[in-house]
Amino acid sequence: MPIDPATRARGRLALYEAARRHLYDGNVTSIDFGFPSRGGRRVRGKPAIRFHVARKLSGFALERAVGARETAPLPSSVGEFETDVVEGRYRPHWWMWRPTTSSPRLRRLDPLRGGISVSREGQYGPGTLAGVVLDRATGDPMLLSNWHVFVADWSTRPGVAVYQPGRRDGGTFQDLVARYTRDAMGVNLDAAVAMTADSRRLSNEQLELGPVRGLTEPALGMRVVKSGRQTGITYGEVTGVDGAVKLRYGFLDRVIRRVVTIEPIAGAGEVSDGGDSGSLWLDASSRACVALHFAGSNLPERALGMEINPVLDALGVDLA
Amino acid sequence: MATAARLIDARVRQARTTLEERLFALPEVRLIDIGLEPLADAPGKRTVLRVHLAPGTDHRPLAIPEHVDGIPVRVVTGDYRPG
Repeated sequence: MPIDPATRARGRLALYEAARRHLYDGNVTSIDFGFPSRGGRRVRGKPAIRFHVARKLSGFALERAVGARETAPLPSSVGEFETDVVEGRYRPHWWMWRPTTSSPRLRRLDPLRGGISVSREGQYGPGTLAGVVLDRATGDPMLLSNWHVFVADWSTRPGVAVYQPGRRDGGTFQDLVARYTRDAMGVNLDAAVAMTADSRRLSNEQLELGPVRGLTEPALGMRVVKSGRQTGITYGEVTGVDGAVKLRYGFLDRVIRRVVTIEPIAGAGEVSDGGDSGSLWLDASSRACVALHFAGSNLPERALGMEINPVLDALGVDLA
Repeated sequence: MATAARLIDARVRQARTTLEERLFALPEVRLIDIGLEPLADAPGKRTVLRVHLAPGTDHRPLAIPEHVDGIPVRVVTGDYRPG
């Protein structure tokens, strides 16, 4: 049904006004002039200003997003035209290309789970999502990884976006899954959490390993396994505990404590490589979580993790 | 051959802390932890303290002690990076 020219002209003015006020809202992906939908059916005859949003929010979720300055309330009308809100995310079709890979770890996945590619916006360094945790104060789901995966820069402030997959694997702002919230570097632990900001489902599973079953303390000689973005499933043996290591992060040297050292079983094979940062080391037999991977050495082959209990305590979270 | 997991008692942890207080300020020392090594003349392993030095480091000038509170100290090589 065509819209008469006078109505379209007035609609264009209303559209400009709506764009001026709302187009730069973080949740608004497009604004147009068209027929609204009511009850799943398009209502012809009375065009509206349509706000396209990444996520349709209402109630407490909207309140929280507004409080966090992620979005602003949308008006029910602009000038003489009612408004409508629809969900939609758009990208130029030539950006649809992603590096082809057969590894699911490097792809956009739903549900989110441990062992898959993540990074923060503005950084190309690859990292691994440790998994889903729950804020002890609120019960809200959050994502866990290293400080140098979710933050990576000493000038970074809370709110920076986390992508899945990470930028190295083709992730963009369309793949935002969380926003960095807090970290544990102040207590010598390379760990951080990010508040979820996406509609993807969440799982406590580790890719190709299954669910994490509780927590346990590391013990010398313990056989462990991890699922990581770079080297996938690898096994190792705990050869060192209660360690303290000096590492350089950007232009600063920091001491990381509660370090667990993991080496190849019988001295052969690979346990980790760059890009596995953020992986969870699990007891190989019980699948209880032991440590959060954060560093390593190639010569000799070693992986370093932080005991998981102090990491969770410092961040005020529990494994989901 | 299965390796028995070992728990670390407070005495060993205190010895590690003492070693850290002595050596950690040295730039050549990268990591200090508690480890295991096979016994020389019997089956099984014993607890040791490990001082990880940057590759190519001559440990002799660093005056690394042989024991701390009765726990043997061993020097190993390690070059660690975040990632």
